[in-house]
Amino acid sequence: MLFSSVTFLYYFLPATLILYYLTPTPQGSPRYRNIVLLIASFVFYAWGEPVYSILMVGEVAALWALGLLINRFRDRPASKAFLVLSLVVGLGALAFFKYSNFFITNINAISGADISLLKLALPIGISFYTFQTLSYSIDLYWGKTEVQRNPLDFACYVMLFPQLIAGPIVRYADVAAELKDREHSLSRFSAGARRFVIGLAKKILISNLLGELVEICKASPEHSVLFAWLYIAAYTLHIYFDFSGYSDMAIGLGHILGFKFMENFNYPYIATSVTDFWRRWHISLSSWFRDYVYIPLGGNRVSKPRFIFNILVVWTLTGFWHGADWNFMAWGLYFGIILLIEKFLTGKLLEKLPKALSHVYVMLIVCVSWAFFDSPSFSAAGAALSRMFGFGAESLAGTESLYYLRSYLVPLIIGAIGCTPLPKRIAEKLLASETRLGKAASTALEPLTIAVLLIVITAFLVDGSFNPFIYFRF
Amino acid sequence: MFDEKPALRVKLTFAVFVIILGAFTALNRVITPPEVSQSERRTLAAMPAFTWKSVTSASFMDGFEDFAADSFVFRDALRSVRAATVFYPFMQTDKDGLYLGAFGAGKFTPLDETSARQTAAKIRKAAEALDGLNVYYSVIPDKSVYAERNYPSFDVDAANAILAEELPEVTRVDLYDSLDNGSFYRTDLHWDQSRLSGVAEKLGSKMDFEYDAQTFYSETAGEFQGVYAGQLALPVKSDVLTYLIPSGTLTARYLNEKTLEWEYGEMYDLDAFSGRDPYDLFLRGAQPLIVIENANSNSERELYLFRDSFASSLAPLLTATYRKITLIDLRYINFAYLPEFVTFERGSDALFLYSSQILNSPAVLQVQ
Repeated sequence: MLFSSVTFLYYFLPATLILYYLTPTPQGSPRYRNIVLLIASFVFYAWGEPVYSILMVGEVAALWALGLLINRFRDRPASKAFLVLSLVVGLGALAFFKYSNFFITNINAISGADISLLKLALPIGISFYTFQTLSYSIDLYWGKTEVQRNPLDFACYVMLFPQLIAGPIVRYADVAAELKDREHSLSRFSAGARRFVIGLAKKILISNLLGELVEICKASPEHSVLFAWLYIAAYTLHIYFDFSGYSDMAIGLGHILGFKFMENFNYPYIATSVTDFWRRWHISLSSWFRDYVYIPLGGNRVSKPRFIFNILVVWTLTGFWHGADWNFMAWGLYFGIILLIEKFLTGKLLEKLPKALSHVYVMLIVCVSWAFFDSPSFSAAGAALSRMFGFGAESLAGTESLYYLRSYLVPLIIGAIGCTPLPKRIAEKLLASETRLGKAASTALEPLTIAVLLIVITAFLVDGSFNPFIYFRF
Repeated sequence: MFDEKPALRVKLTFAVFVIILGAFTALNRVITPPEVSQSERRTLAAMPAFTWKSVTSASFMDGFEDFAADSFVFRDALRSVRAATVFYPFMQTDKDGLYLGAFGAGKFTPLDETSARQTAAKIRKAAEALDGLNVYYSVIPDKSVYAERNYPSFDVDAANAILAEELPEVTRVDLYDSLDNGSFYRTDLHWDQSRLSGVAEKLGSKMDFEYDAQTFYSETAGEFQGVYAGQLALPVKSDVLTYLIPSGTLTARYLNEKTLEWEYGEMYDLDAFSGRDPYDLFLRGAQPLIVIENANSNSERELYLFRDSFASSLAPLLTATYRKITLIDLRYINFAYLPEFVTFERGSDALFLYSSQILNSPAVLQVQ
């Protein structure tokens, strides 16, 4: 089920919230509410994946049981064996469903074999919930978290619908305490509702509109320089608002239900270096790879060649996590190489550069990366990038590109401003106003904005048809 | 981060969120949705059947998503909210391809060259089977062609080039210069019958007849909102539907699709004006076969008009020239079945008259 759907907003969410808040909390324990959440999360997932929901339940049951065994045989060799088994179960399912056809295609290409591709649909969110469960098993083995003996609470953690299918990748250690005891308050609910509506607006009112422009650019027979730039600008904003909007909705829903999920984005497009960019983009994924791959490989406390190897492995895997194709691996490797260049060559220089120039540098690097990320092949990415600089372009601009520039100019400007902290700073200033008029205005402004956004969003949901989520395919 | 004593702002935000979600949710349960959307001219999605198979295959969920959106309370008002947001704060120049210009509403229909070739191939095949007839073709340019500059509209030149290449043996009648942005209804895709003198004259110049507008008198059916107005969901000034009545005694007969019997009827169905599509006033809208005969015609000429809905309003203007006009809509009857209902008289005229939408949709023409 999509957050950005009438079904979610006006059927699933009200029903879930009513049931959730009507469920008692004996001695403050949310255990019954966890069961409500678990059932709701199952319905939420099964709505889009009725068959694969059984797979997920099986995986959750297996990993919960293996967690018990890891804990039971703590400090003994069997514990490690059960950890390995957990990794095999989690990563095995991921490899089978997500990467089988990639490997078959490449084996066929190299050996000339004719192995048939598997007719498998990718279970939604498998990359996200697999990484969540792995964090539990590994942390448990390392002794960083306590075992969860209640299978319902463990299932509730993995399947928690706000973050189930597109993150943030919530670690068990971060919500373990909240599964036992969490705060519900009007303030928390209100903050969650505000965050949820803002995320929904980012998704529906900006990302979807710019996503339409992306599709128009890709489908147009006009191969002009202007269209190439429009495409990359639209995609750059589209992917940010799509994914950060989803994260905002997840975090907001978490607050409404009493959970506090980690932040996943921190204005990545204002970064002054690529290193800085990756501290701000998909934070839950990059920190996952840092803690569970990079540091176990030795991190930076190793020889220079080994450090370079570690970085390249981590970033190739990061790319591969995004998709079972060479272009995703190349995308990850590309960032790995740039991070190494910044580390050994240009890092100091970037610090001395005027901020505006640093931003231009980061945006160029990132925009180029999105061309690879969104293209079906290297040659298509190369062609899109070449056209941006006039190579292979038929003209500077044509009737169609000029028309669409005019038509999408305001959404592009809103997107460009909206991905900076400027709107937040303005809102904070308004809310901090000390004058009587300012206080009255700030009191009315937030609820009024939420009301207008909710109604406009509803209008777009009722009448719109273009509503994809980029990160669902991961 | 979370105050123990929430501020009024926090309470209001909470209230707004709960009230809007709660109110829409409750109203959606209480109010029975309509089965048909008059403004969109379509049947709305119904609640899907809840069965084990439909749930496990997820077809129930897909159907429910459509139902939930289609049955939403205040749907038309919300569609207007979306349209207003797109055109005003976002200042976009179209919504789902629909634009609102100085000459009314329109929709971009860029030429699909591959489809145009396939359509042309079907026309060629049909034309080749019309042995001994004078065969012509003509494409009605989409109204967006005449809209304000810079809209990515239908490429008439490219379409003509493709058709000329694919139909070298068939005579083209180029209608581009016979139309302008006032030739079409402001709120609909169709042309306005009362502004088709130029089109009739152009056809006459190629097909060897003279069109005399003086032989018609006009009647007004009333104001109407065309298909684009409904799709746009914004207030657009209504059109007035005027129809031209030829002199003489005319009979029209329609082939009933179900009984395959001919039925006699009026050329202008005034009841249809208040139906789902007011343009159906002209020759009852979608019909596979219609024959119009003018008993008072001095001419013995016959015309076989292969057509779409645009020809419904044009055909009455040609009744002074042709004693008998047979309108054939290949979207609703297969070309191979025509001999059962139509005898093509040698020496007669045949005109393939299609709008740009048909040119882009070869699959709809039943010519094998």
